[in-house]
Amino acid sequence: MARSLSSALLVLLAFAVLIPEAPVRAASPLPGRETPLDLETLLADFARIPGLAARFHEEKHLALLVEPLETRGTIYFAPPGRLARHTEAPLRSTLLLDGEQLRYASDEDRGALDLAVHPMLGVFVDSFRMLLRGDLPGLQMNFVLELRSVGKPEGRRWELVLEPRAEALKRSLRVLQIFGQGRSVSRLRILERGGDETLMVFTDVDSQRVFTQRELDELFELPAP
Amino acid sequence: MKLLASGQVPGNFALRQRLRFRAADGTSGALEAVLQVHCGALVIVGLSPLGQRLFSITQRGYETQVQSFTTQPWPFAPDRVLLDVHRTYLYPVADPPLADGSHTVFLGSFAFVERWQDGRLVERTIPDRLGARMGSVVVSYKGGVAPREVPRRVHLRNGLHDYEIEVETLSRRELICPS
Repeated sequence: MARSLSSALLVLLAFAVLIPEAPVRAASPLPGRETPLDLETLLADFARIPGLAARFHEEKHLALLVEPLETRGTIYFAPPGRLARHTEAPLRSTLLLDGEQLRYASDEDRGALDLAVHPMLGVFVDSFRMLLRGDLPGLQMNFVLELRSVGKPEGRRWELVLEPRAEALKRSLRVLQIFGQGRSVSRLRILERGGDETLMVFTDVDSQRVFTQRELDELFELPAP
Repeated sequence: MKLLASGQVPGNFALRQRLRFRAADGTSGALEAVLQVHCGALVIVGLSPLGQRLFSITQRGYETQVQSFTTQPWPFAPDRVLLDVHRTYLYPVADPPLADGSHTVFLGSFAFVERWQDGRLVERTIPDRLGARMGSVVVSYKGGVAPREVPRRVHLRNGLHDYEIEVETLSRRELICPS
């Protein structure tokens, strides 16, 4: 897998690091709303979660294909930086993000990627983790952020829009949208240049999940070959 | 006769597949792929284990268009991928089934050998030529394949270019082509 990823992406890392931090766009309330939720509050809320578990159903709509590619599984997040994606269908596979290391395994294959060497992939994969760990500077460095919210403070619905800053990433990624309510995420939508779109819908979201040591060892490790 | 015109492929469907390969240079790996036949066009999309698009091949009639989404060289040329797909999944399977044993089958003037057992196609041996060199592609259908069936597991070995591919078909979806 590592062979198939562009080493030219290294250029992006340098570019991303050099980008000055631009101001966050003002949070705009959805119609019918009172005081808007602000980014600092939302991210601070996420920074306090003890862990997260959620079922996901992903639909990847490729412009060339008539029907979307569907994937189902479970994601887990353990602060400060461990994210696991366990896919159950159509193929069993595990994807682990821990620090700068992305590791994956399926029945047929396993491997690892250093996100520092593949920054575009890193930004892409890491954006969701940045939200869950409340990493506002990290999000601001890589994306122009816009937060929309509706409802009263408790259980307020929100939508976070992330537009990539790096020109190279802009060429492939148009926008990321993360939808949620309170400290819970409900949907992740990725719109790519060229018309491809990925939608992940989360259900059974437990954003107060406390993992036992045994769960940490099992859920955040690759299965034995 | 090597490629069929895409319009000759009957039906409208999408196969979701998992591939494992070993190339001549020793490279090995796995990827997901989708083979779609819809309204006379054939599309193959390769996806990385992380779900990223790696390449796409579109065939309309005999015209093909290849898009690569990675700058890394591929262990197989796209035209070989397309050819292997035709040989394995799109060359017609005789209906009614052929008698048990080996048969020389013709697609136009292009000849290859099929081995049948218990009413099922179990192997195709197809000549492959590169300039003056000649080798064989052997496609083994695990458990055999009957007419109108989708082969569940396939092993392909290209003796000329020295590579092997294992393909497992995970699902078949019927598609509708609006008239």
